[in-house]
Amino acid sequence: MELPILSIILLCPVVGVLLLFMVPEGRDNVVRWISLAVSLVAAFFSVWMFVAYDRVQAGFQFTEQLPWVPGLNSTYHVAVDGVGATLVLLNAIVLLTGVVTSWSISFRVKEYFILFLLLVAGVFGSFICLDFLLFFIFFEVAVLPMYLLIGIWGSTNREYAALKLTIMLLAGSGLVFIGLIMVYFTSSVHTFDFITLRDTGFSNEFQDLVYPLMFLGFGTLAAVFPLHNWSPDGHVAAPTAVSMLHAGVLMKLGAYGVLRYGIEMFPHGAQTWAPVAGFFAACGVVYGALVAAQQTDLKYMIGYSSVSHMGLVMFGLAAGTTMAINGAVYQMFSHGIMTALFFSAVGFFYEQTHTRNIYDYGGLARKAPWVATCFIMAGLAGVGLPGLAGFPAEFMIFLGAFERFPVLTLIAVPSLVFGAFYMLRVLQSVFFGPEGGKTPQVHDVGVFSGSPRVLLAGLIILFGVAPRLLSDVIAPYARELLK
Amino acid sequence: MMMQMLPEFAMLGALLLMFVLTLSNSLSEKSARAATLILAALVAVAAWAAMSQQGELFSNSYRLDPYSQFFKFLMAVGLFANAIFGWPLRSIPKQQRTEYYFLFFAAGLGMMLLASAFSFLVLYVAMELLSYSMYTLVGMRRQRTESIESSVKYLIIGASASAIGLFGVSYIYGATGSLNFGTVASQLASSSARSALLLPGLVLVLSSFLFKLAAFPFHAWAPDAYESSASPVAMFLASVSKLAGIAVLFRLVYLVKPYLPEFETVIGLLALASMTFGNFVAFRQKSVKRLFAYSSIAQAGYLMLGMIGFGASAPEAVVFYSVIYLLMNLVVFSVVLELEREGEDPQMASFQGLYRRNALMAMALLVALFSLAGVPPLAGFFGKWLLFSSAATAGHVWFVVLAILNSVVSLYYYLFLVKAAYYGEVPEGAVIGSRGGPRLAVLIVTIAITFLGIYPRILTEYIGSLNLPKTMLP
Repeated sequence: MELPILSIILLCPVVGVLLLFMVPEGRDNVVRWISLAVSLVAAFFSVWMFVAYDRVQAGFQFTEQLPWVPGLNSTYHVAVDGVGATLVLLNAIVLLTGVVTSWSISFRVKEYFILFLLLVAGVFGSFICLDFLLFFIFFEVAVLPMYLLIGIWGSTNREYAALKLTIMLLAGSGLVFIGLIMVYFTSSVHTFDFITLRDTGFSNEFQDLVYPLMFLGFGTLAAVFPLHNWSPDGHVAAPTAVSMLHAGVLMKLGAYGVLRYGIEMFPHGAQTWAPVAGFFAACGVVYGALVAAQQTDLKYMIGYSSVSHMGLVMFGLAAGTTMAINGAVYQMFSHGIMTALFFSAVGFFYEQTHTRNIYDYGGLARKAPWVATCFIMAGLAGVGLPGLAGFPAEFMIFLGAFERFPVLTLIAVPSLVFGAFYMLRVLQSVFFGPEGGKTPQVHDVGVFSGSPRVLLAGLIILFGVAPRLLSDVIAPYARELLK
Repeated sequence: MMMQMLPEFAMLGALLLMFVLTLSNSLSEKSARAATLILAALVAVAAWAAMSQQGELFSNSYRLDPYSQFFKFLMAVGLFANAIFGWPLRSIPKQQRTEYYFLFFAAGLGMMLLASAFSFLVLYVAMELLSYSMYTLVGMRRQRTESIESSVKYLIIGASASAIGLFGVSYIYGATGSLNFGTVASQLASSSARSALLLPGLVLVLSSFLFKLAAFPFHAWAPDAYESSASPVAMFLASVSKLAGIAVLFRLVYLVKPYLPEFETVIGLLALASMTFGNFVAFRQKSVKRLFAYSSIAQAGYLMLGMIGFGASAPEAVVFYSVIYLLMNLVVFSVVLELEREGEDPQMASFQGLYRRNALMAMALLVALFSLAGVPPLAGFFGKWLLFSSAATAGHVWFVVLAILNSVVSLYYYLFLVKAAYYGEVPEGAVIGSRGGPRLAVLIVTIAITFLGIYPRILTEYIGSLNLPKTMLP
């Protein structure tokens, strides 16, 4: 029998949660090590899965199917294709680095890791699940722990941010739920199975009606302009590792939802609405960059630049050419790694100085060269410097989108230049120049706490110089999609 | 007949026994509680034993079918759970507690009779037995004038609802010449004999059900009754007593629905009004018990929406949701009871920092609230899915869309409670919550809510095996 590798990956955090429940109160180190152990196992199997994924054959692989609620024709059907495999790998990386970054959490440690792993389980489940109902359930499991994670362990304005985030995201899933019911009852096959639903197809009118629900519902989580405004507040309030997960993986879950349950399921609807979707996505790209440039709080800066970068992902998806889709999925991955690195570095400074204001720093490159290097690398990847992971992604998106939306692309491209401007400004005032007021308090740290940042920075370089590692998996998917 | 009506007779026996035992006033508080628990457990066993009973009694005015028997069992279990969770009776004056035990079982008997009622006459008698017990129970917290006020309010609204209902029954009798549900349904089926009086009659009869369910527009008693009654009574009102309303309303709706599409629309609109009203008013509440009263008004709306579903889906949805509705409310009210202090009701503020005082209760509350809001992967989501999809198959897509939006709204005020429980600082002089007994029970119910969300098959398959869509029809 073949190894049920996807179920194992999904079970890692679930087993972690159950184990943590049994750890007696006060044994914080046991909690941390258990979390690290399960995330290592999950990461190991995710890498294995990614390597073993047959790039020639492509399509859905590692399929498992078990009955779940037979009365509703809903099954536990898991499999990954190019985009699923990429995102599972991303999630495993962010999980692993997030757990190490969370080592310094010392308040209600057990609950923190339980919620953290629960969230990750939800994300894994969403990426591998091919049953719409089960996907929806995992999707909610991925969103809800955020409320407590931000509210209890967060900082600036956390209660407001947590409530805003939860309400907006759940309003989004309300739209998806409406779509889910409509799909189930309209389809002649009465099933939740994604492949069956996709292959059966829907009438053009129905697609045009439901696609906006999916786009807006999932788009809220992907922070599509103008539904983005939960996201910067949420990033800022969340504890470091949660920001990493949130910007690194959760927002991708939104984009993934649009891709799989929007574009793949309703190709005609996506066609019809593409100009509107492209317009809002382009707005997000420009708006995010402009607002990011105004920020003095590092986390707000990254939060808004995430809006801009996720706008790029959605722009690529809306354009819908092979190249653009390729780029969008690539961008999901590289942006995930990049923001995780960003937030990890900012969290490192914040822990030591309790400020995130860029004017409190200066000359950090001398005090903490390792962290500074990582941060600068993420920053340069963000502005699309060739040789780093952001470049192939943004290049492919713009190249692919130009065919479809020449004008919008021409409007969106300068935002990159603008992005380079603000990024360099921040890098200069934080890492170089005269020492700021809080700089003396910062010290570089040991190998263990520094390891996640080194890993992430290494990946940014790896996927920058060897984009084929990733595009070999993604490209067949994009080709298949447009057939 | 003895065997067929075993649960009812067991309940009657328990009622009389409690009456005699407490009459002499020789029973200590502790032994009275023990007796209640044992008797409630025996009733539950009796209901389980009578699960497969079928038949029509008293010239077809009392119907035993899998539907009624399942509800009776559920009510008995709910009663037993109330005996476990709904303690202590501290806000009821000592000399009145004896009546509490008696009325507890009297209300239970009324509920069981309602589940089997198949004629408007039985319906009326059972409804009044339940209602009168409840009026008295609500007014038992005599040291508070509000308790008496709410009891009177409850009585007046209840009496008006009954009067309107009886008036409706007179129309139905006039139109069909019979009080039997089955006859009414068969008259409806033959279009020739159909009288114009039937629809108005049925709509008027609805008022008594809406009153029992605390649904719009007969909801006004609920917030006051919940708030000013003793918390164990509020728990009783919110959990088991609702089951009776659901059981009998759905039986009637299911019988007449196929022949009266207008009736479906009426119920759909009332359901929508109920949930919207309940959710939007719940926003502004400071008192937790009032908040749950409004939330239960909204929940009644969701249930009613599921009732107008098509064919086989509606009975399963309604029965499934009834089960988890009971579970969720038991958890919520046991947390309320935990936080209650002598002569003082829990406010939003008393939930502050619950997590640090009592982590288990905080977690149970979290699970129950998210489940009430219908968030996956908890049982509430699956329940709502069944209810909404049942309405959607019948073509009421717009009702469903509005109901989903309503669920999102409801999440807002549930989150406020979660926020208080998890984020807040512990207020000074807060109750720690030291009741030892129900902890395990709360844990079990919480696990059940989670488990039924992840693996609903266990319950749905059982409900499916009852073959309700067929067996409910005469």
